[in-house]
Order: sequence, then structure tokens, then C-alpha cells
Amino acid sequence: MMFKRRSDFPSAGYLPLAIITVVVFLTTLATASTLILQGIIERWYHDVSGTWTIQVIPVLGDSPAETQQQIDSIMSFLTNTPGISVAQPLNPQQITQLLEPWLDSAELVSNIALPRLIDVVPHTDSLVDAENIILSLINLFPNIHLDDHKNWLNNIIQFGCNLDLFLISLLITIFTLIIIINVHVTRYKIATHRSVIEILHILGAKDDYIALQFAHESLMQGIHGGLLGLILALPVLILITGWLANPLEGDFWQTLQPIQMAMKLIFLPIGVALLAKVTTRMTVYKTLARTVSV
Amino acid sequence: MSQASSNIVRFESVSLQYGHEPEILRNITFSIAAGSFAFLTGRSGSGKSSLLRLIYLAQRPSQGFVSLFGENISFIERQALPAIRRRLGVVFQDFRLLDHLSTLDNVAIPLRIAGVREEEVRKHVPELLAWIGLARFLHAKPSTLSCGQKQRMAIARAVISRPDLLLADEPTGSVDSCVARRVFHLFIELHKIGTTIIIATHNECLARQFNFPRMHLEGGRLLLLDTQKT
Repeated sequence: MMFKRRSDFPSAGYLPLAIITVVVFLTTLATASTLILQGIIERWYHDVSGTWTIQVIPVLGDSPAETQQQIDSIMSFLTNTPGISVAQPLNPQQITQLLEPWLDSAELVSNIALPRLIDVVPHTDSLVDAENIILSLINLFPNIHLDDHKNWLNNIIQFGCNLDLFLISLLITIFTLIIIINVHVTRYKIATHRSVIEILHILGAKDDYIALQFAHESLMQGIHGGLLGLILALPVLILITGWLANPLEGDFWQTLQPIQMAMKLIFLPIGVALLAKVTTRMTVYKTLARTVSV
Repeated sequence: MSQASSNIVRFESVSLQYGHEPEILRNITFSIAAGSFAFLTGRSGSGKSSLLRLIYLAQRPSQGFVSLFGENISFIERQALPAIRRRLGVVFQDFRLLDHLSTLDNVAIPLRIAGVREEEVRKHVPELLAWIGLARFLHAKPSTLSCGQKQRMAIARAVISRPDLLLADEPTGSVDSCVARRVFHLFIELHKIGTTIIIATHNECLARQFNFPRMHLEGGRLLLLDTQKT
């Protein structure tokens, strides 16, 4: 067994190990799910931020050719406006494809007077005067609406912040739970092995000698239970990510950054093990100081 | 009696009482010189084990003061006790071996507590166990050993770290007279190499066979202090 060290105390059995395994398993799932969501949000943010969408609302009575002419005029304006990197109109078929899943019928969609859309990407390295461009556009083309996705981005940012808070709260809760479990398990072990502790004290052991043995066992249980919990959580995580990857398509796995995520998740068992060790050691010191008079 | 400076144990007007129970030890005063060998006799329940508990610091006196190796331990802080305890070897009446550990690990405890390197532990413990006839039982658990073997294991644990003071509580209580005599001879050998020894026994006949001072406890009082023998 890894880092096996002799102990004067009998093994605490598998219950603490099982508790840590379950706690780390659940924490890994919750943490990984939060990290995946954060990854998705970051991808959305990256895709949407710094882009505008111009909606050209068809004027009642205008033919498609007239609408197309207006689109061409707007494109011409955008192409000649400094600071615009890309301006790409979506063709009506693309818009129909986007709406079809919601309205359930391509025929119905084609009968609706849908606005035409133009994706605009300003230069990232230039300070674009968005308001001025919008005013100019609206002056020239009163039937357009320019959306710089600010509301949407603000919501995403807020949701991302909420996720961060959730993750921090979750980790604080889990670590508090581990501290409470460890304190109680350690007190129980001290009570159970009271006679062994008394003999060790009589033979000249300091509290430190006893605390180190308890702490080492907790560390080992933390490492083994933590790694087991992590390993058990991996197949579940692969299923979850596989399930999420299907509708999201594209470079989802790249967005997910599995190696970086694994690097973050590996800190869970390490953190749990170290926390268990420190908590146990402190509990032994405090309990012995309180309950042993000589 | 020896001079105060060379006294390894000194009791002065010591009384011991558990809770509101009657006093177990009453106004005990005696001293043990370094390098001496003493018997503590008395019937069962006379307070021998309690007196030894005071010496090996498992109990604090209700009254009076106890001095060990020149230090008044009645008011000493708990953190300072381990250093004093490491100079003691104790053979308990009920052995108090750790059942989940092997003979080697049981006997090695005092060395490991003292921070002796594992190679030395692995060298010295088998040597001692061979000397007391337990070489074959190095890895045996106490539950698989006879009473006499456990007794020797307990003695080995008490002497492995070469204590300055060895306390033995009824060390022959659960062995036959032949083994008892061998155990006493083992203590005498240890005494010859300078260990101070106090043996508590109810077997006065056995104690009389050896020419050593004898303290007698009766009704919680130290009635006889036979210090003329050497």
C-alpha cells in the first residue's frame, strides 16, 4: 500500500474510507458539471462578445428584391465604415433553418415576414464608435435594429458569476462537511482506543506521537478514498460530457479543455486528504488536552 | 535510607483518594535510592498498584508530593511528563500488551516513542526477545501466547529502552513458581547493570527469598520499611 507506515493503533476500518469516497465522488461530479457549464458559457461569451447583429425589418409592401437591395446598401455602408472587420448577411434559408425547430414547419416559416440578419464583427484592435455607427445606420435605414448583445452578455456574465459563487459555496460546504465528519470520527477513535492511548502515554509518548499516527491514517484514507471517488466519477463525467457534446457539436471537447479540467479535479482528493490530516491532528491535540489530565 | 540527592523516588506525606471513596493510600513517606532494588508487598487491595500508578505518573496524589528523578511531579505540567516517563519501565499486572500488534512491535514501542531509528529497532528487539526466550514468537500476536510468554513480552517491553527505574506490578502473579523464580532472576540481572527496581507482589514468601529491602502496605499505610538489607 502507498506510503504504508506502521501504526500502534488498529485500523479504523472501511467506513471513513467509504464516506470520503462518496463525498469526493459527489463533489467531483458537482465541480466538473460546474466547470463544464462555465466552459460552455465562456464559449458562448467568446462567440457572441464583440459581434453585432443587424436586423433589417422588412417594410410592409416591399418585395424581397427591394429588401435585398436594402441589405446590399447596408453592406456597402458597413464595408466602407472604418473599424468593421466582417459583415456577413445571413441568407433567408439559414434563418428558416434556425427557426424551423421552434415553429415546426418550414412552410409556415417561409410565410412569415422575417427580418433579415447581418452578422457584424468589428475590429478587435480598434476603438469602434458603436453608437455613431448605429446612429448613422438608423438615419440611413430607419427600419433596422442593431443588437450588440449587451443584455445577453450581461446575463451570461451574471450567470457565470453565479456559477462561480455556487462552486465556491459547494466546496466550502463539502470541506466543512469533511471537517465535521473527521472531528467526529477522530473523537470516536480516541474514545475507542483510550486504553492504547493510556499505555502509549505511560510508555512516554507525547500527544504528538499519537496525533501523527491518527493524522497519517486520515491522510491515507483521504488519498485512497479521494482517488477512488475521483475514479468512480470519471465514467459518469464522460457520459455527461458526451450527452452535452451532441447538441452543442463543433469543438466542444476543445472548449471543455479536459486536461485543464483534470488538473483542477485532481486537487479535490489532495485537498480532502490534506484537510483530513490537519483536522484529525488538531482534534487529537484538543481532545487529549481536554480529556487526559496526566 | 540514601541521601536525598541520590533518591530516584521520594514520597512525602502522600495520600490518594478516588472521588469520595475512602483513602487508598494514607500519609505515605518513603524514598528509593538510585540503583536500589525494593519489594513492595501487601495483600490484594492494599494499595500496591495505586502506589505504583503514582510513581509511573498515571495518577496525581490527592495530598503530599511525589518526587521522581529529583523533580516534584505533583504539580508538573502534562507536556513535561513524557520525558520523565521515558526513564521508567513498567510491567503491568495484566501486561497491557497491544493485542493487534506482534511481539516485535509491542516490545519496540518504547524505542519508537523515543525516536530510535527503525534499523536499530529491528536489531535490538529480536536480540532481547532471543535473550528472554521469545525468538520464535517475533511475529506472534499476544493472543496466541501463553501467560508466561506474555509476561516475558511485557518485561521485554519494560526493559528494552534501558530505563533508570523499573516498576513491576505482580510480575509473577500469573506464572508458576519456576517461571516466577526465573523472572526474579531476570530483574536481579537488570539490577546488576544499574537499573533501580521496585517490585510489587503479594507473594511475601518469594520476596523474603531475596535479600532486598521490603516495603509493606496494609490498609493504605506503609507499615514496614525494611531498609537494612542491600
